[in-house]
Amino acid sequence: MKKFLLKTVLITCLFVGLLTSGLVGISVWVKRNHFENQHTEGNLLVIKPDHHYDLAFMGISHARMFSRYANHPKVEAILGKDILNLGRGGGSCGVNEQLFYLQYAYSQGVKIDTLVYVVSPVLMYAGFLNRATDTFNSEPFEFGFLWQYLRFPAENKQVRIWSYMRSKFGPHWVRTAPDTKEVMTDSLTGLDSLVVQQGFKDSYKDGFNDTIFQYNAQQMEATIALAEQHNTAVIFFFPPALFGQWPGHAETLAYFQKLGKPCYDFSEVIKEPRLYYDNHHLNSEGVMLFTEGYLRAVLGR
Amino acid sequence: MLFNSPEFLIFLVLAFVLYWFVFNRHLKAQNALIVALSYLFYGWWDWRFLGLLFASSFVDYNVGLGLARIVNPSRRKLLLVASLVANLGLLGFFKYYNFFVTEFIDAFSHLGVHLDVNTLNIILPVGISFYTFQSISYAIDVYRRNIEPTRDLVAFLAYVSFFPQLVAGPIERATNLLPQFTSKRHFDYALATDGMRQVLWGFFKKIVIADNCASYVNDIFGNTADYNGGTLFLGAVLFAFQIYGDFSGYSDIAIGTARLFGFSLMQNFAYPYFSRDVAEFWRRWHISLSTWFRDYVYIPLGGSKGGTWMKIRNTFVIFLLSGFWHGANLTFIAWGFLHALYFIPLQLTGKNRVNINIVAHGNQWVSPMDVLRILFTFLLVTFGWIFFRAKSITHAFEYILGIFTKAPLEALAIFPISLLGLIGFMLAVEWVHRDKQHGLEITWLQDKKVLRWCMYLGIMLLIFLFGNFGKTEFIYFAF
Repeated sequence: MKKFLLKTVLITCLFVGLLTSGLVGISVWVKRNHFENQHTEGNLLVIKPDHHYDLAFMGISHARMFSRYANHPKVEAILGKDILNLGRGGGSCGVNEQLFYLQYAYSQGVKIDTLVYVVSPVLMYAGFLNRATDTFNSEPFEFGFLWQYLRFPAENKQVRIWSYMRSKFGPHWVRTAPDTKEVMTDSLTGLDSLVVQQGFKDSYKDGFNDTIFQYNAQQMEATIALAEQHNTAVIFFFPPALFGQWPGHAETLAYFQKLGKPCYDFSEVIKEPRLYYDNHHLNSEGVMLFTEGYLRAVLGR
Repeated sequence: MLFNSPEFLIFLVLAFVLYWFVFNRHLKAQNALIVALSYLFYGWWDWRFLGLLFASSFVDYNVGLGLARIVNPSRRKLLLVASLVANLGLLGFFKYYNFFVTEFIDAFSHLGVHLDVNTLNIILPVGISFYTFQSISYAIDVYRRNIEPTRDLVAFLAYVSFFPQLVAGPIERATNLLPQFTSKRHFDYALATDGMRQVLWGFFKKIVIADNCASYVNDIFGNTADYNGGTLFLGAVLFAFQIYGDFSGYSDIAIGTARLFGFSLMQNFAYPYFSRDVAEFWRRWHISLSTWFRDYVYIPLGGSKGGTWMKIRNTFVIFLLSGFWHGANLTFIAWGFLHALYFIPLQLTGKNRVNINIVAHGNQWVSPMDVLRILFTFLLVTFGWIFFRAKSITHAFEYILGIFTKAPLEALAIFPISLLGLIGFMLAVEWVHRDKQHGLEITWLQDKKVLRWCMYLGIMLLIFLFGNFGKTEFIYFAF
């Protein structure tokens, strides 16, 4: 019996040890590159412990676009602020995991003056974003992060954790290097209503489900409460889209206005196709114009 | 509780410690612990059906005692019938009530009569087909005087509810398993280590092969109209490996787990996809069910002893019953019917017992003729699986028609290369061990410790890297 138990424990330890060494080793290898917000979708690669940020963006791809394609330093320069972007695009992160990122950032001693939550109505109606399993695939392996997440209530947690750990052994992660794209110049010439309709169909695949909305609302309120605990002011804004308002816009806006925090609706403010690279994402020129023309007035120097 | 869940891992460790370190002094205490653990394991899924499990066991325990006491043959037969009615009645109600009511209404509606009969919202208790069959086999064996009835209620409850095989088999016989509950168990190092290997291999087949195949299969079978012939064919092949990985994986985990507790369960799968004809396939697939039907239905019906028509009738009965056992849907009956059609020509020409030995026994290489036979058998079986997996008979025919008519030679819409590689790996490992009880019975590595440990670590790594950890249920839980 002793021999059996000893061998079982030994092989388990050996496996866990080898796995952990691999996870940590590969992550250290990737982290040897110096990443800034504009270089990566991974938040753990850019959060500086005990750092004081003037501003943090949260949300889905509409928040992330302020950093992608080298937009980040330019937006920082326009607003005159030190910014952390916690937004996650690619349909891989919902309100709940956004809340977790914020919680993790605070646990690292990060201080944030203002939290800017970029509200896309789809964020509130999508259950699939909270179920996405590849949420952390762009993050390096860190014990502290994993330990905190293990204690964090979430849907699909087990699969998400496996995906997180497993992704560290994939060729994609091993080859991760700073994204050096300088600018996004793609632009549209007009609105393609067929593409928009298909996009709505994909984005609202969970329908307009009140239970999902209420759950996301609960997590949103938990986000506000967490921010306030850390003396962070919270601002919401609806980003511009070439088609203007998303389905469910009125209900979402009404909800956010009731929260008693500053809430700005910019969904209709930019209608020039050349400033978008798709129907709801601004290209670099669009981001700069929007930041200068609208965000600066709200968050200005 | 699912084998592929973290709860089971914790449960197993606690059960092992309690079993060997706390309750190890008294056999009765150990058996009582097994009953408690098994009821907890089952109740984790739905505690409301624990009563059903207990009732089924209690009836047959008393039937066993009654059969021993009564001498009069008619009264003994009556008692056995009572047991069969009770067990099959439970099974019939929970599994088949709605099916019969719906089919009954449908049949009358074809005649223009519209009946207003209510179906019930019945939940199918997990594993009911398995434990009722196990319980029935005890009553029949006592009736036939193949076994002495037990007077130890706890041992009998443990026999029926033994958690490793409770919800999806192997369907054990009292002649094999019950005596193991009535004799002192000692920890056997060789048995336990081999059990661990079997559990590991079972997890590989379930989490890596079956669950990954499932995501493709669900997509292809769920959207039959969207895919070309080649992709539909691939879907059927992947389902063949899904159901094999799922069910034989479950059996491996069950048998391996039982070994950790000092029990030997029967082999349930013997590399069925290496069969050279359908008769051999049925000697290697779900052995515990096939032999159950053979011993308790086929042989009592006269087996293959009578004339041609009797042989044909008995074969149809067995295969149709086997199909129906899998579920209350015409698709399963069609699947059974198809296998009867495959089997009967072999039986009538006396070729159903030609391939008794292990393919290419003693050789690493297989003859080209055997390769062709294996491939042909696999194709026949895969064709049958289409009925098994389809939502309805119509769906199955649409699917089959799609394979041949929807641009069968066009490029595949889906080509899961890494999954196909993993299936290849599984087949290679099982080919090497095809004369062993399970795919990882690596006796040839007995003296090569480093290599052996590298193999364990390698398989664990494959599970980690390619496993699907979505807590997918085992297919056979539904049967």
